Amino acid sequence: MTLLSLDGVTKRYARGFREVEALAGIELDVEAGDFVAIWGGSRSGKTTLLRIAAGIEPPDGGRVVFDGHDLGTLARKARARLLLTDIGCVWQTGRITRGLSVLDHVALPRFKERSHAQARREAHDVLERVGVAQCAHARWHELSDGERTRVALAHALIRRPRLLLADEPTANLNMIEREQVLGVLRSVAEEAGVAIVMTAPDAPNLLQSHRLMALDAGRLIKPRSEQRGTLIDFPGSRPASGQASRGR
Amino acid sequence: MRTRNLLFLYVQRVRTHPLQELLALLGIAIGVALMFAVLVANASVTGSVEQLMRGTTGRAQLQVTARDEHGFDAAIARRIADAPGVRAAAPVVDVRTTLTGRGGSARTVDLIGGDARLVSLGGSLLRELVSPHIHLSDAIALPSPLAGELGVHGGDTVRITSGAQVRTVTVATLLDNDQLGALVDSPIALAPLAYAQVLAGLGDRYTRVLVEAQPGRLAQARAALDRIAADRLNVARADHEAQLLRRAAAPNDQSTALFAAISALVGLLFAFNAMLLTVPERRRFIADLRLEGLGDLTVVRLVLFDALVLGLAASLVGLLLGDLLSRDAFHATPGYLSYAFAVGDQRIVSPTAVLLAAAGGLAATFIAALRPLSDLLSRRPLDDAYREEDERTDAAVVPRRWLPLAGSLLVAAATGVLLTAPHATIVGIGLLVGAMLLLIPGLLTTGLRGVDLVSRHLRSPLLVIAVGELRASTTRAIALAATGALAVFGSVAVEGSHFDLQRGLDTDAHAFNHRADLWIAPSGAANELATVSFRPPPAAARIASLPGVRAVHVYRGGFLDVNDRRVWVVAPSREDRRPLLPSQLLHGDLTTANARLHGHGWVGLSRALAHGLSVGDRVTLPTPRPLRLRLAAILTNLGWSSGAVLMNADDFSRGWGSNDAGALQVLLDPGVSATAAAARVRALLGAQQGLAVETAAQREQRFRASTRQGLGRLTQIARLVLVAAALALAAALGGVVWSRRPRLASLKLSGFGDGDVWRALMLESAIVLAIGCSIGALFGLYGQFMLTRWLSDSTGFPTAYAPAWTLALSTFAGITLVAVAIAALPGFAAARVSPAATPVED
Amino acid sequence: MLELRAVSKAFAGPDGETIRAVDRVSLTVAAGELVALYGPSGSGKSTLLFLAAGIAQPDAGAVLFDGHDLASLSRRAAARHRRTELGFVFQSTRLVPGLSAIDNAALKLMAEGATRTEARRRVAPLLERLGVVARAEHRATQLSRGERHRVALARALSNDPRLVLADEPTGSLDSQRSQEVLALLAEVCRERAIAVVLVTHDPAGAAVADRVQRLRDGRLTETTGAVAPVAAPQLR
Repeated sequence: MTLLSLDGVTKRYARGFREVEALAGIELDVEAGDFVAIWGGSRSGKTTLLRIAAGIEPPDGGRVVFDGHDLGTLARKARARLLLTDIGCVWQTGRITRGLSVLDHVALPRFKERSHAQARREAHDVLERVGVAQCAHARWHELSDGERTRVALAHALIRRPRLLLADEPTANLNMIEREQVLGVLRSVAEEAGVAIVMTAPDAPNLLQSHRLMALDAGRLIKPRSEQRGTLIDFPGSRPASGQASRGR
Repeated sequence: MRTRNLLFLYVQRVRTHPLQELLALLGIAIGVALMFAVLVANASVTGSVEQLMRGTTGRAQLQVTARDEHGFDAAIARRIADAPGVRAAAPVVDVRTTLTGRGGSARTVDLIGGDARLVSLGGSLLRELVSPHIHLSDAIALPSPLAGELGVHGGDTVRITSGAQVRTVTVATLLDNDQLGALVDSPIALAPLAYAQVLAGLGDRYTRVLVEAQPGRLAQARAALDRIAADRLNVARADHEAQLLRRAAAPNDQSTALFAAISALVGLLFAFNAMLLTVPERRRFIADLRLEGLGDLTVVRLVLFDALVLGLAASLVGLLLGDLLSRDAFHATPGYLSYAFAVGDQRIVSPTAVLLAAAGGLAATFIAALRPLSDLLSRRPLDDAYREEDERTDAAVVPRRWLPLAGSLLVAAATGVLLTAPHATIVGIGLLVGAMLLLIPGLLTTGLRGVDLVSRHLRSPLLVIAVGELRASTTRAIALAATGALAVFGSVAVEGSHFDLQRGLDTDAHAFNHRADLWIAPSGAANELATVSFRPPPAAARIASLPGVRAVHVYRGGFLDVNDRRVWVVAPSREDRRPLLPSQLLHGDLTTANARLHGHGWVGLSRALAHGLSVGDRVTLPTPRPLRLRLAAILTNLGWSSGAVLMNADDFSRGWGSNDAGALQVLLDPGVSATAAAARVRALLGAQQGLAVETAAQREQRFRASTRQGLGRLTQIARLVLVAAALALAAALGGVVWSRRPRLASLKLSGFGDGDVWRALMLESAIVLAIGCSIGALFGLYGQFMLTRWLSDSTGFPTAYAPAWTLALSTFAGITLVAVAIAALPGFAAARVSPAATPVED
Repeated sequence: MLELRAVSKAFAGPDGETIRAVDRVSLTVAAGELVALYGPSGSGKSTLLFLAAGIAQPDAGAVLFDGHDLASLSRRAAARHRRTELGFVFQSTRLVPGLSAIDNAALKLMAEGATRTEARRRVAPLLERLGVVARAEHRATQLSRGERHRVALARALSNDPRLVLADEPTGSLDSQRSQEVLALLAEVCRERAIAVVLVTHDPAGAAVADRVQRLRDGRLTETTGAVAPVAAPQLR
């Protein structure tokens, strides 16, 4: 069942005195349990694509359909609700909610539904899941980049989203941290059936994903043969194994 | 760095964040405006009398004054002029009269009469009288504003009432600013000396002689004058009147000074709140420059330059605002003081007021701008500033642990002052304010912890967010709470005590006026206290035989200058068996005192006059005929700040050497309508426009109205401080919220909708203000207690203390609700920020 | 020119334990040399830079500039040293948002006492060299990220420093822009014989260096040769 569908999405920006087409006719279908990775240079429109997919920015053309609903026709309130319950996001410029501990920050989306103590327990579980349980009471500035990304991931995952959008979650990470994050993403996709769309600046980040595509000059470029679990036609890729490796 | 570059950078910064700079400017300006307006209002009361004095006395250093309205002989004036050491002497007629214009509008004025001798002493006021342009043999001159109030033009007539005599006089000329200068707003009427004597019914007597001594022989002249006065007249410095007024206005002065100080503090806090918005960016900027090698001195110059520009601009705006304020809002006559002094309408802007207010504004800006400078002192200066704004623990430079301790000590000190040195209670209040401010951080933390605990039992992420935000920006939260606390404190303490005073005065007014059912006394707004004497007309003798009249008593009263006080003398008829009321008694036994006062030779004095005396001691009063009396009791000051004297009417007669009455008190049979009786009395007395017949209730009403008017300025100031506080709080809240939009966008990204974010913002504002204002209310109640104690014990006012719970509650709720409500608007706009508006990197 | 002799620096951590940010590091940098300190985040690279600049004092060891111990300088002398000899480039460019590009670049010179006109005149050629002179009058907020980094570089070079200290100067840029900016940095500094100490976790930064030293847990490991950049995948 197609969970997210971008249908001819276009977006234009004014940059300086020119008007640039950031996205030109994006077509993308994502199903539950898919792990999609999109790579592209800066200014390629990756972040914009994710923001449109999340319903935060409206596209200039085309439409975004999530779970059968056209996001363009939804009311503000309904779109906000989606972010709270169905769509989890990990952004580059994410910060912690001011004045809260890491644990409370992660638990925040659940405070409405659950009692305080329950929400915190859930938060602790999620933090453990992504491997940063020790950070629960740390201060934001004490965390390394990798830990921060994983906390942001926990903040997104606690709401048990059906779709997870991650903007360059592996930026500024060393190799070990990168593998850890990608591993978590992968396991979440496979075990919980969450659809994941992530972006990255370059290819070495993306070797754990199922589907890999590039964003260049506003267009999505998919490899000619898009087979699940293999990456072909890319230099430097691993040989086709057909096996999905377990993360962590 | 060159100064031009500093200016350039400042301008750029203002361009980038114009709203924040404007808010900072407004905050400071409001504080300056309040301070200035309060100082001007205060100075104007005493200042107007001083001006009048300078206008009349000129070079004279001494004066000899009569002790009552009957004045003294011309022969005495001649002896004064011939006394050794005297260079020049000028007789003056100076009486309080009431002028009534067409349409019945009346003003109480000082009728001043003098001749060429007075003018030669140099008093500018009377220059006009001997000017060749004006012929004033049998006419008076009035200042134009006064004439306007009375509705008269040059050539018209007015009625002048002196004592109980009414005459019609011609107004020959109107005098303007050109001729009178600032005195054009004084309540005066000028007449040639001889004519003034006629109008005042003095014959060839004078009320005052101004004396200029020969150079170096002042002491000799004084001694000679004392001999001539022979204890029947008062010899004093020429500026004595101003001294008396200053003494009378002292309590008023002190409470206004208190308000001025509170306004200054409030302004400082407003400024601080607004500056907080700009501080993080400023610190980063400075840290960057320091990294690049900017010297410490240049950093200081940078910060101080910013502060100077802002401070000057803000002070200027504040002074302009304050000027407007003092013209419009504070333009109220000082009420009760005008019974005894010729207080005018002038608005006196002294250089002191300007300097103080401007200095306050500059000080506020500098203190608020110090935060970036504190970075210079920290041990790890440069890498500290490179932490992200949220990462930097918002710990103050000074350790917080000792604040609660210091605060508690100050509370103890304030209590100590209250108990041991009650006359210095104003200082105690200052200590209390200091204590409150020191305790706020600790109380705020505790309050937040309490809210946090509550939030754990509620399913409310919004509350969690609100508390988190407050905890993360402690400095700002403290500043907001302190502003609210201060405003509420000022209001509750001063207004609460004001109400206590009002209640005490009302009780006294009721008691005083209900000694009789009807009062017959010279009319005029200045005669509230029945201090003007008159000879009862023959018709008055028939009042006692009117139907329904049980008895008619003669009441006497007046003002008496004792040292540096103009005290109120109350002398009820001997037929009043209980001249002293329980609420008025401070020391002594009521029954004994009343019995003694009924007899001869006893007197009751208010606390300030009875200093060092005990019941039974002998006193001599400087009456026209000196009276030797014994002290029967110590009283409150009966509502008259300089002090009061209570004796019976016969003793008064002896002391003043006359049988004139202050008022006729008519007692009616039970069940008789006072209004009807009054009409009958009026009919009996005929067209005696000099006398007014009033029921006790009417008199009491007038009395209450004028005390309220006199004290009304305090209420005005209190309300203004509150309004300013609410507005500035709202502005601060709004500004903070607006600058926080990028962070709000992050909240949106987490899935919180417009309404959620807005409610979180409102919660945050409400929590911090509620905590701050409630602290202010509690301290304010203690402050009220202290102030009322001071009023009653130290200055001897009658008061009726009742903790102002309602006032505290309503002020607390009022400020909180109004500020939050106003801030709801920018909050609403900010909450609608798009989640796409994430902060720009770098 | 710059010499670090066995410097160590430790901090108190959040739980009270001692964190050895820099542990007995020795390093020399000659004039015109570009040294890259390569290591993961949290390895003490920034601390090392602050020590090299004389902003932080080492617990042990000495930092020498032209043979003079920086610790012996008074506050004023240290500030003067930074003003005249050093230039800084950071990951977040720290431009003043309200100022134009050229005013931002001229800021350092203005801080030293030059008039605005003169400072602008002196940095204009730098902006040209770095390829952003066309955007000189645009406000910092209107510039792209790459342009901002170049302006920051211009500012760092505006006072003709002898040593440039760069802390993750391209951290937030994508690899292509990263390479461009770093190449420009290396070029310009070589032209003017400016020494550069570059701290980075980006392999592209290591690629432009004359010498690469790995930093790990506060310690320098052995020098390695230049690290080859990962080639971007080709698209068909």
